[in-house]
Amino acid sequence: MAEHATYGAHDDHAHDAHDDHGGHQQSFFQRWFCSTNHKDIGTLYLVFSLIMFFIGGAMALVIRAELFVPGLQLVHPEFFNQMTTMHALVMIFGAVMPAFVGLANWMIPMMVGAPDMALPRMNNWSFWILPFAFTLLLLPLALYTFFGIGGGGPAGGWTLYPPLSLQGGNNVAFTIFAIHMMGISSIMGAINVIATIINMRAPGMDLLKMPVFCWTWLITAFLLIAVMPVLAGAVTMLLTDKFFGTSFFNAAGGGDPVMFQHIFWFFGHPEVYIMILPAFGIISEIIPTFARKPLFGYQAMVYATASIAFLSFIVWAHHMFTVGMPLGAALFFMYATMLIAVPTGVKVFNWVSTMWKGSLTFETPMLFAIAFVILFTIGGFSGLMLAIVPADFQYHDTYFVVAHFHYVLVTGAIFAIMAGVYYWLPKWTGVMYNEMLGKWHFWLSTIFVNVLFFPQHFLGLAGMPRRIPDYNVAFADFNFISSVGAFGFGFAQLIFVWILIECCLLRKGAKATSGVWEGARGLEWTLPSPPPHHTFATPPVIDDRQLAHGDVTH
Amino acid sequence: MSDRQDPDPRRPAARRTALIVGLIAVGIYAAFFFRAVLNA
Amino acid sequence: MGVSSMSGWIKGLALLAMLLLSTSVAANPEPWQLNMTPGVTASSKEVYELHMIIFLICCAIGVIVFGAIFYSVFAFRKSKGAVAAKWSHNTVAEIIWTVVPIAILVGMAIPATGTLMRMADTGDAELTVKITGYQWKWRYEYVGTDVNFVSSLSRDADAARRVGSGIDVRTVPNYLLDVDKPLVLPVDTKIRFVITADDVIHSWWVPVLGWKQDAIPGFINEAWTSIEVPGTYRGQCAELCGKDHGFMPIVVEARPKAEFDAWLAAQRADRPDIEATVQATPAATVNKS
Repeated sequence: MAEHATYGAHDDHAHDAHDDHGGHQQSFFQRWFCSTNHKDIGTLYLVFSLIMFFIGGAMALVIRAELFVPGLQLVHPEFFNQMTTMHALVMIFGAVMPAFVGLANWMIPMMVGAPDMALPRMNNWSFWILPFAFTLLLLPLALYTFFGIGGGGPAGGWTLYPPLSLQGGNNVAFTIFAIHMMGISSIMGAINVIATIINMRAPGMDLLKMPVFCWTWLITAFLLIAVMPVLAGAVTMLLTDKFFGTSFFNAAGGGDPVMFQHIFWFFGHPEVYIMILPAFGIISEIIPTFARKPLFGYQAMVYATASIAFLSFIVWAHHMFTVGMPLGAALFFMYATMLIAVPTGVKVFNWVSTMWKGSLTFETPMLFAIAFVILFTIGGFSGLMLAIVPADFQYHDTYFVVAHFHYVLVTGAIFAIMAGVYYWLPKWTGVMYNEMLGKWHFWLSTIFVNVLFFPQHFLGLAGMPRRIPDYNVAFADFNFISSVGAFGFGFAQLIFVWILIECCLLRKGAKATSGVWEGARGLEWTLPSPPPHHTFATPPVIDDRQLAHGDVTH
Repeated sequence: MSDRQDPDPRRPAARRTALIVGLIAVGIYAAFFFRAVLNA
Repeated sequence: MGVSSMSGWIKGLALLAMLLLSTSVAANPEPWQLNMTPGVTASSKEVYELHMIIFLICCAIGVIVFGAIFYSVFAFRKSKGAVAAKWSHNTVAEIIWTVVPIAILVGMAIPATGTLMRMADTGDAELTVKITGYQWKWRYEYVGTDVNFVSSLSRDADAARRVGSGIDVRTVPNYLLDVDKPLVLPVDTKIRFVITADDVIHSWWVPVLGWKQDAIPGFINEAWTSIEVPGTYRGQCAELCGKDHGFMPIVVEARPKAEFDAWLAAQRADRPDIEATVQATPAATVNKS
């Protein structure tokens, strides 16, 4: 392949003098389908995630198109419900989680001085399960939509609450098997991250010298190990209830539909943090770089992340305040949930302090990072409001909740992923992305995403329930604005795709230096851009001054 | 190239870690499932 | 939309300004409504106040945090010659921003706990209404009487909501928020609701009452209200319950006690056939999870 030659040209700068490909050329199939290289697998994950981002985004646009004006114009309510359900499943399991795994694959070995992930062949497995899982997940919907075959995809919401989710037809089996496969993929990915960070660090790379991104991913990986099996258990019980006559969740058979919600949210709440902790890590890498100032309170950041992870296990029932909990339980979950605001606040204050008295420049990654801090905090505020049980009795299952979780997931997780991609793209490709287009992408995304989600707070407070395909005319104006924002945000992402094409395929742009950014510190920035196919085959000698956090006493 | 020629001393330890973590995951699945079965 | 939407926008902006300035109560959703309704019960007013307190606290914290960010963005620019400081610690500041939020949270938790405890106390009710959710309608039973009916989406709205119905939904009064037979309740009476469902999970929600409560098959949940102002109050099912989840509204008609009693008597008189069996109806067994 053409770019191999480009890689080769940099080999003399590389730490390892290995020939790039172990002495033989790989075919396209070998390189991308049988890959055991963390960089290639990272690329595969990121490309997969981008495709899923557009599939999930298309579903979101169907939803917003139907909600443009009151009355049903475009789709039937059944199909609308399939769209809301699939949009969530695709975005959560297909776009956000694989994007973070992709970033972990690319960056963690280079950050800790490892030659590759600890188990490269399992790494290949954990990626290649995903396309099959999502084929399975999307098949019922695709068959119905494009060929009119079958009854369509799952329509009971991504939370799969029984008894409603069991009213689906055979798509229940497709969804459950797909979730099992995604779960296995996530667990294998998490095992790899843990083993890489625990065992594969270069000598001298102490845990407390690691970049914060590695820390947040290590903690995330433990969350994945703890909760993905729980989700697997919950959906297995759904499967046997649906097809094998058990009554785990069937009240008529002595089961308990609320037990499903408890099990689901015991997975679901840590899952929320699985999608945001790596984002915290990315932002903690980017802000110090562009503030040219060390991260404020490194250890506090690590401990705050660990506290958030711990607390995430004891707050799950705040998703279920209206199911009729005993008073004591409601109070416990309210207090525990409010407590999460403390470590989260510490993180926000530390980011702001990092910027304080820095020397700031505003390249695209920094713009996304600053927008992340502000908009994620808005999502945090509405989260705190939702923790107050009596107020939650009003907010629950309204557009206020929709606004809340989109602020933390779109302007939170996805903005962090975008920030990370812009930040590391020159390192990956060896060429600088088009800064002007990057800024256009940023400003259009930020303006439209607020036009899209901010009015949803008002809709929820005014009384619009979520997951409805049609609404009273009182809700018409803000829904109209929201839909305008949705299309603006959606189309703004095409700029992102063009930037990626220029960088990755056309190799158009200024040549990137190994450091790329003036303020960047860390092992990964000592490698040439792009890094050779294999890096750190012999462990690097760690020079603490090159690290972002080389001094553990601080 | 898939099999690395260099016997990196870190890899056996990494494999052990991976095995332990994997068993924990399987254990959580089994524990949850059996608890639910006993409950029902 | 077109031209009419433009004038709608202008009207909307005027209304928006009015809403921001006025403290008037919206009993039912209004165009350009920005905030939660204070509602028509003591509980709903407490909920509204809690909501406003936490909202204002968040705004205050937001002003400080976002102010610091914007100040940094403008003051510490490299292009303006800012030189980065070297420090990365300040123990005093870190202790302050850990302890102060805890204090604020405790201050928040105390009134929230009080309100929650009051809302959980369903004792001493003068009237009990059993609510059952079905796909996609509600059944109301006045416990201890034979009055018992199903309430579903009004006929006009049901016709207009179909894809390609050709009916402009803006011409349908209270589109999707109107039913054939509303739930009639007395004012100034503590009413206990026992809520369940027959098929899948639903959630009974009238915003002016200040709460929603899930209706779950196999479970009976409790909630209560005491309405202070007569009027017609609208709500919707709030838990996804299948294809017509968006089409199972709730309407509560709160009437003065005497009017309510007369209405209830009329309902019973309508159905003399069941009158005899009233005594045989077992009281709902409440099994609060």
